[in-house]
Amino acid sequence: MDIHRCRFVPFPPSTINALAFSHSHISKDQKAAPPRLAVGRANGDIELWNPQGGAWLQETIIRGGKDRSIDGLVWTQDPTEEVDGKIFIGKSRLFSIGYTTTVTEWDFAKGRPLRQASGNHGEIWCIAAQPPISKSEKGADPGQWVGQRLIAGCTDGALVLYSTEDEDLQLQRVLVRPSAKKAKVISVVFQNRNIVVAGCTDSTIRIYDIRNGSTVRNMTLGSGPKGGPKEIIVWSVKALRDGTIVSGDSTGEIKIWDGKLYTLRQRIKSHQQDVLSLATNFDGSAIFSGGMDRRTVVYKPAGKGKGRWAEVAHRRFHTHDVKTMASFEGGGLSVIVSGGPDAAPTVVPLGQYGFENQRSLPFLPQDTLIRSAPKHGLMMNWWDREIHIWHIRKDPDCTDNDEDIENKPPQGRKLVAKILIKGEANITSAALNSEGSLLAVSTNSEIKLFQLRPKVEEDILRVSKLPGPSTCCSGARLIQFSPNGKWLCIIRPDSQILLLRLLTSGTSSASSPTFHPKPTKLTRLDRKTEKHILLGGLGTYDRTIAQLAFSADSRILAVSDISGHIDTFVLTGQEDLSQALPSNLSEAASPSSSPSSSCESESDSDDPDEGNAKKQTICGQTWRRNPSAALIPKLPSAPVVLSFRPSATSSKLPNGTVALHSTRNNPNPISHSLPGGEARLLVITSTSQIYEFEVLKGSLSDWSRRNPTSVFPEEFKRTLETVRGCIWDLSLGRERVWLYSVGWIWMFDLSRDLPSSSSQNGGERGVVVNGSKKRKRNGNGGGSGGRERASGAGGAIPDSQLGMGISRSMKRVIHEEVEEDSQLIQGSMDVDSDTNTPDLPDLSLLRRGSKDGGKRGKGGGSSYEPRPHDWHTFKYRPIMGVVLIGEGEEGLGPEVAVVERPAWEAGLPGRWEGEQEWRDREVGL
Amino acid sequence: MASALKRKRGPVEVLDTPKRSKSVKNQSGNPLRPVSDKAGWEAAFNPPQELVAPTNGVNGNHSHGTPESPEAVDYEAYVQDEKYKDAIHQREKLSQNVLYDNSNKTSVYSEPKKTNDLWKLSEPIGGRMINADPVFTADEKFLIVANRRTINVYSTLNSLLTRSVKPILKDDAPRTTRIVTYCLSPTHPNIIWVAFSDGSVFRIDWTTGRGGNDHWTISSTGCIHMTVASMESSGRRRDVVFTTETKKDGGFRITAHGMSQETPSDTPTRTIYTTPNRIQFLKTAKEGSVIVAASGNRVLLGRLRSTEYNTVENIRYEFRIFESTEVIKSLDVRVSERKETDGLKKSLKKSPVVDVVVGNIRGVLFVHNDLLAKLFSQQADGKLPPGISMVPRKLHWHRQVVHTVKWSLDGNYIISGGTETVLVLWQLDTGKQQFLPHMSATIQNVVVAPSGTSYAIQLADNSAMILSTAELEPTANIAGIQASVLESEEPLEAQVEKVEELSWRPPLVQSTPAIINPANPSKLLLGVGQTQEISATKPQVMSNPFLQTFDLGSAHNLSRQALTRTNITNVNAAPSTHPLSEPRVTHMKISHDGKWLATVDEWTPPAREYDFLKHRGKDLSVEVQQRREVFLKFWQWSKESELWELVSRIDSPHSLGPDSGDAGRIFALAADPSSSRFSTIGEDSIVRTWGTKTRKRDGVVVRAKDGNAFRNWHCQHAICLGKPELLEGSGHSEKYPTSGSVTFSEDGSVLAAACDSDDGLLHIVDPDSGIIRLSHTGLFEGTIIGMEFLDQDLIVLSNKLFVFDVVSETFRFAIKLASSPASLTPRQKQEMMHLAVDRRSRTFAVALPTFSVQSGKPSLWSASCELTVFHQDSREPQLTEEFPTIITALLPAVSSEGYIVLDTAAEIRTVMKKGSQAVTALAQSTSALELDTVPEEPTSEMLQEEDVEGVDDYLLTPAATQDGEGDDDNEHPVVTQQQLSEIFDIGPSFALPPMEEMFYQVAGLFSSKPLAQSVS
Repeated sequence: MDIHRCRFVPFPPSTINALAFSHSHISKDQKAAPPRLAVGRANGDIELWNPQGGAWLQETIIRGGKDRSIDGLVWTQDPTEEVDGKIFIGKSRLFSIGYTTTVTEWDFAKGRPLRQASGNHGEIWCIAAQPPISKSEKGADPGQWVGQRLIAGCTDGALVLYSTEDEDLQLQRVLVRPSAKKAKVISVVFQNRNIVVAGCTDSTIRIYDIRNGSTVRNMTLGSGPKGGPKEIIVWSVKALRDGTIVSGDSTGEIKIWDGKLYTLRQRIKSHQQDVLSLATNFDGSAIFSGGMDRRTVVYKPAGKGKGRWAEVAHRRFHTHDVKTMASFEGGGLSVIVSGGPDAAPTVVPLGQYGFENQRSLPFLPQDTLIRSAPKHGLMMNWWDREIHIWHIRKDPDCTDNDEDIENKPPQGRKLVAKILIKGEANITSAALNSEGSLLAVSTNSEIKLFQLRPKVEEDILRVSKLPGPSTCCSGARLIQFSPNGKWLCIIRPDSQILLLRLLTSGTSSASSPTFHPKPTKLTRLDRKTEKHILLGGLGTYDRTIAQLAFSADSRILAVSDISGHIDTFVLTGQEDLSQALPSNLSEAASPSSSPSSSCESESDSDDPDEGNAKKQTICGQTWRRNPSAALIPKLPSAPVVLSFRPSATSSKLPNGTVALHSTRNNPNPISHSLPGGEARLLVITSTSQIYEFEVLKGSLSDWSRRNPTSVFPEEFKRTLETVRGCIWDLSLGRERVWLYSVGWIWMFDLSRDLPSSSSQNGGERGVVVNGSKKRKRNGNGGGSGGRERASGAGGAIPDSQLGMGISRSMKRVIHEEVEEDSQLIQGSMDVDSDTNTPDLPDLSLLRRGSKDGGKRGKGGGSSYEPRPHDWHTFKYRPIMGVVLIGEGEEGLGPEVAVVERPAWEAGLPGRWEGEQEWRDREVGL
Repeated sequence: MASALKRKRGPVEVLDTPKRSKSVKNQSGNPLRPVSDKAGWEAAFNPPQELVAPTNGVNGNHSHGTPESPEAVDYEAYVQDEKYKDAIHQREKLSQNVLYDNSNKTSVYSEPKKTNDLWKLSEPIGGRMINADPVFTADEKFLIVANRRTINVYSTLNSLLTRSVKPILKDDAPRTTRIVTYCLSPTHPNIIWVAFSDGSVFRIDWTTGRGGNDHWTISSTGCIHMTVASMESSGRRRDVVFTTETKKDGGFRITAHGMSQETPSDTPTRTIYTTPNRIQFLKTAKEGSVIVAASGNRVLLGRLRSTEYNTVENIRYEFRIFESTEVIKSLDVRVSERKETDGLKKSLKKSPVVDVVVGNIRGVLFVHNDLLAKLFSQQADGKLPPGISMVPRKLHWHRQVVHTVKWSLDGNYIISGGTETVLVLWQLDTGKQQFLPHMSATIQNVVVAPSGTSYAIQLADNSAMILSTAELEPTANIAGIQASVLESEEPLEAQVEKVEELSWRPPLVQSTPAIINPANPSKLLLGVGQTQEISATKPQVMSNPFLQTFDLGSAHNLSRQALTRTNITNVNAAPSTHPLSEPRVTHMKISHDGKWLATVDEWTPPAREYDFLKHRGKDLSVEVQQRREVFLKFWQWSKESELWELVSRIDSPHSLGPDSGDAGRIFALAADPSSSRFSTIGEDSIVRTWGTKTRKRDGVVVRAKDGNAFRNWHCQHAICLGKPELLEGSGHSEKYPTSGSVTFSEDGSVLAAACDSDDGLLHIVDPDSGIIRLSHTGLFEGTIIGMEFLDQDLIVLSNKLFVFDVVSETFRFAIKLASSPASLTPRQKQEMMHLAVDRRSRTFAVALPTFSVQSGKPSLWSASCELTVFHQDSREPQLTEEFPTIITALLPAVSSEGYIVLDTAAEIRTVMKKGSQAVTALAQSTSALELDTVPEEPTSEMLQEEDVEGVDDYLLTPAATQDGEGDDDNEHPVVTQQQLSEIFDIGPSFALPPMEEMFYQVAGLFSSKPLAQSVS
């Protein structure tokens, strides 16, 4: 590959202001919706992360807009009900605040606000949800409302109660009236269902009863330290399960208050600067605090006496303030996630603190935000409401030294266009056609089209806005041009698929491109989700389309959703541009119908004939669902890469797929011939499982059968980072795929089988060893694909590097006679993986068995391996994206741009605490 | 052991008296002659056959005499000649005086006495405190600190040495045997147990000093650590001594010994734990029912399985062992009663709460709360019950090794200390820390007093102090000689890789600048530094910016002051965590009247700061040289402040070369014995004399308060020892000299100076005029180490020892160094060879190091030293003494005949002529000071109740004086009080003359006058 190493892309990471898990704890027998982590950022984005047993995946981003920020996030769970033996899992609802007077509820299936509520009070600074009702409380008072209310603390000192009853959000009552002298409420938490604890800026923690709004107690923290401000700000309050209140304040102390008497029990000085965030574990046996001094501190109950706590350890996981924290336990996970202005959420092990590594999740979005037009060497990236287009050229001077490109910008690159879109909403997606003449930009509310024409005299693009088709006015979550530039695929916020036909591509400078007025609407297979699941939990969220891919000949479209379903569509018929445009634009066809109705209509129109009648024919071609789409199984986790293997050699191969579908003819004058050729779709899931499907057959390809994920190199299976994209290298008859994630680039040669692990370590034995290892290491089963994830963070720390002063095991010696070893540190919870048993490689071995043998015979021994099967590098990081820039020179493979965005270049906001100043201060040296 | 000196062998004819004959140039190449009949030193020190001094041009201004260098014959080579071996063997048998024997090491101490009984070597005083926890006595009136081989009991009230006990070791104990631990017996508060590294354990009554003669040998392989518990079983309470040592077959073990006094021969012993790893620390708690040990990075926690045992042989322990990742350096355990027993197994409900704190070599402290219950609460299946968090608290403030950590008595605080010289008090409940910074050196040990009202802190600069807990005010301070010592074993923290500091290659021990104050001969002035332990394999270039004044009479530290800039109150590490280096005082001399002190200090920036210049291709050593700082400082004794006050500072008194402006090193500093004048010689081959000048401002003399004029120091003469015009070979001119020496004659009328030269060129200078009167060649060979005048004789130490009569310009005699010291590098010679003259006894002494050849890396542990005393007129040494340690300073004892020797054990010995005791005001061993009757009072107090009167009494009369009075009162009541007070009341107790002198004075009263008095 010919690599341009780019660091000039100015993507600004956005501060994490809020973190919230949908559940703080899921016990083993509890029926609950799968947990999600919501990350709220200063640019108004809300990201939803799926912990996936430790394979953290950023599923979706709900984009914000100009001057919007998310300052607080809170989830509520509607009560789970059992009706007719079926368990209706309560709905998970997400609320946010953003330094306004409004509380917003989000519809994450549609990616937009669901409802808002506000009242006559000051800006809301903090928000907390009422704890769910416990069984004993429920029994005591059956008539009680069982949902969770919200309490919001305002900058004018008001405390406001919002009700979430009846699937609604309404201001219920103002608990504490705002008054001029009252200090701001900075932090708020429910001690139990009725008591609210509010931390204020005037060195006071106030406690209220929400039933009557009366003040229960004021707990004062005294005056601030000498030389500092008098008033102590209570940045964070939390309540333990036994009612104990924990507060973190601007003196750098955490204070522990008695939950019954409301008196100070203990104060622990553990931070050099303000304590900004607190988190506790579910059973109240650990407290975490994060502060402005970048420390994350862990507290555990001290040995002596009841209710005494002690700092166990502290570390600096962040490069900046630790602004917010959230904890989650359950499903094999036991983690604290913390975030701050360094924009990267950091997963810190909770139960296994000190015995597992922390893990920093990438601050770059999963979707790469970088596109290219390879034919003209254009590269585009976007963030917020801005788009930059660069022209990447080969530097004539330093062809052999790619790394210096960043140092010589004038030759290597040029910013050719800069676009700031109108409106408030942030860009959700953007697309560039392969010629680089057309740019489509989508926000949550609209889709804009721009024509790009190069200025002759300068190396600059002239950007002109095109009137988009009327269907574009509803926004999109994902847009993409087909490789031939004739189709624009739009995934709408509610995951409807629209296809727009470009009639004239507008490559000639004078004419502007025009669209076929009628979009094609495609419907996915109804996967027959039970209604009670649809209505409860996360609802239809997991049908959100996350990935989209066109085949190289633009005749096959594949989309995948978060749940792991893949739908494919094919373009039938021959292109016939002579067909006239339909005279009247039927409004009915415009995608205004609700997704639910379309779902229903789809379910009974499964018959292909009936479906075809409805299908719209454009230019003699019709998009229809791939007949064998239903054969593709649901994948265990969400696909993160969909890519058709470009069949460089397909023309030479006999076309085997046509015969299969040839029976499906019908008398329609329009040809319904299915696209021919091999359509192999490479799918990589978020747990790094790699599949290749023959889309038209609806089955795994031969290669994929012989090479299940289990035979991929151990090192690859162990990587924690999610694959973010791929680049194909087909030059010189190679069939290589270059995968990349945030931290690595990995090449696999798909023209051959990967060396099987069994041939290296001796067949059955390897499997057995692997299996027993798994069993032995208890609590490690959460991961799939052999990743060593123990509780969702960065994996176990090897014994030789444990810095906790205690080993995992201990030796017993009873007077010289008995000696035995035993475990000292038990796993946080003995959750063995219910996920997947390791793939037995028997079948794949059988499949490749004969072939392997033949190869060996021919190759003359396995020792000689001319080309590597795989290769990887960790040299580039963090990788924002890798895009094709051009075809590249002969023999070198494709020309790509590797875009990095190192955090240290990202220009984080200023820090209160520098590197090591505390050193000088401590002893007063 | 090879004698360090190879004596010049003379011809056959034996001359009993030194012959001052004139040497003739053609008398070179003496053939080897058969050995004479005379055996021993007489034979070895036959004078050179003919030494003829040139007679021409003696009186000339710049004439150069070239006395022919006497031919030095290598004695050893001679002996080893096959032909004569038999003869020598025979002679050995026959001779009365045993020839210096190569193989017999044990005769080292006994042999010199046979050789010559004119001189004797005193018992050492001073010494370095061993790195073990000091012991508070139960009533906190005394603090017990151990030196290498002695136990010293200090009073906490006045910091004075009350008693010193020196246990008598086995005869065959290796010379490196030292005390490893000592602890107070929990059963009997006046007993301490002392463990030696050779495996012998003493039970010493510190109130009487008894018990120093008998010992138990617990192991033939030595002892690493020891602790004592008072255990009760079968209705009997006894001290059980736990030791850890090497097993004979490899590996290490912990053993329990029941050492009963009744039957000393029968010591029931039980090995309670064995491991392949070294166990470096042991501690017991709760009457031996809990035992904690550290072994490498492992923590061992044991508990007694049953208290039903009748002898120690049946004692049984159960251990739990866990690891941390770093090697444990310090550990402390605290045991308290269990209050809550919820959620515990039945068997553990009665167990105490055991809190353990562990400090490791990387500076991390781990606090394990209730460790015993947690570790032993294992269920049958080996799993721990849920809800138990084994993870200890991690306290990380120390950047480097935590040398010591202790629990406070109430368990609310942890006290720790290390190389940061900061005492850290951790308040566990709030997580707050309290600091006591700027201790004078690395904190090695901290002990909490039994009542909790004070801490005893032992520092690495050989001092200990007692701090009150509440105010952290020092209440007592004990300091020994703070000169550097050789480490006894490689410290644990050496495992931590550190930035390489500049070290001496090949290894050497820096000489300690030391002088005796002529105005007060019991005051020894030493140039000392913060770090004192010299690494044996990689000795660092050590700074010594402080002046310690040590009283030889009482073996007590008088004061300490800074001579150069120091890092005590400064940040002592650069931002890159490199330690900042301090200047090194290389020379120190005092004027004849004791009023002026001249010091030379030099500082070179560390080479790593010039790494960035490497790319220029320049030689870094040149760069470093150019940035060297050298100061000559003159200090005046101030009676008011009792300190030396800086009067003049001369920056760069010598330059790097004749044309250079950079500071050059100063090779030697000499004080004029007759007037306030000093002389220096430096790298630029210039001799400078320094004198005083009255300070004037606008022509008016500046006077101090007392009316004396202020005086400044200035350079009187700069005498260039230019040799280029004298020597035909000018190729040497580029090379700077690497050594030089300068000395005044006794009357101050002549100054001898020499710089490195190939032909041993030495100049005699008139210091008043600054004119070179005379120059001689051939007066030294190779590097010149030292030069001293003794009458008209000039003694020059180089590869040969020459005694040259300046007046008659003849050689008295010459002695060649043995191959071992002669093969040392010039730097090693300069630092480790010493020459001193004692004008009273007309003798001079030479100290020479020897490195015994050992396999492996060169190490200072293999080095020893030999001290030889010659009389001015005789080639025969009057004393040859082998030192197991290396001598770092050799001084004449100003007020008496003899020498003072300081070695790398920080011990001071005096070598003195027998029969001259009456005049000596010199160091006596502290054990001699410590007479038997002294501690009577404290013991009785201790055994009874705390008696306030006793304390007062004790305070008023220092220990040393009591005995004398007590003795005298009984026998001679006729001597008047006044007479006695004239002897005794002459100053504070520590400034008193040594006991011996006082004794003679008192004895004088009783022996001469009683008759007259009794008559009257």
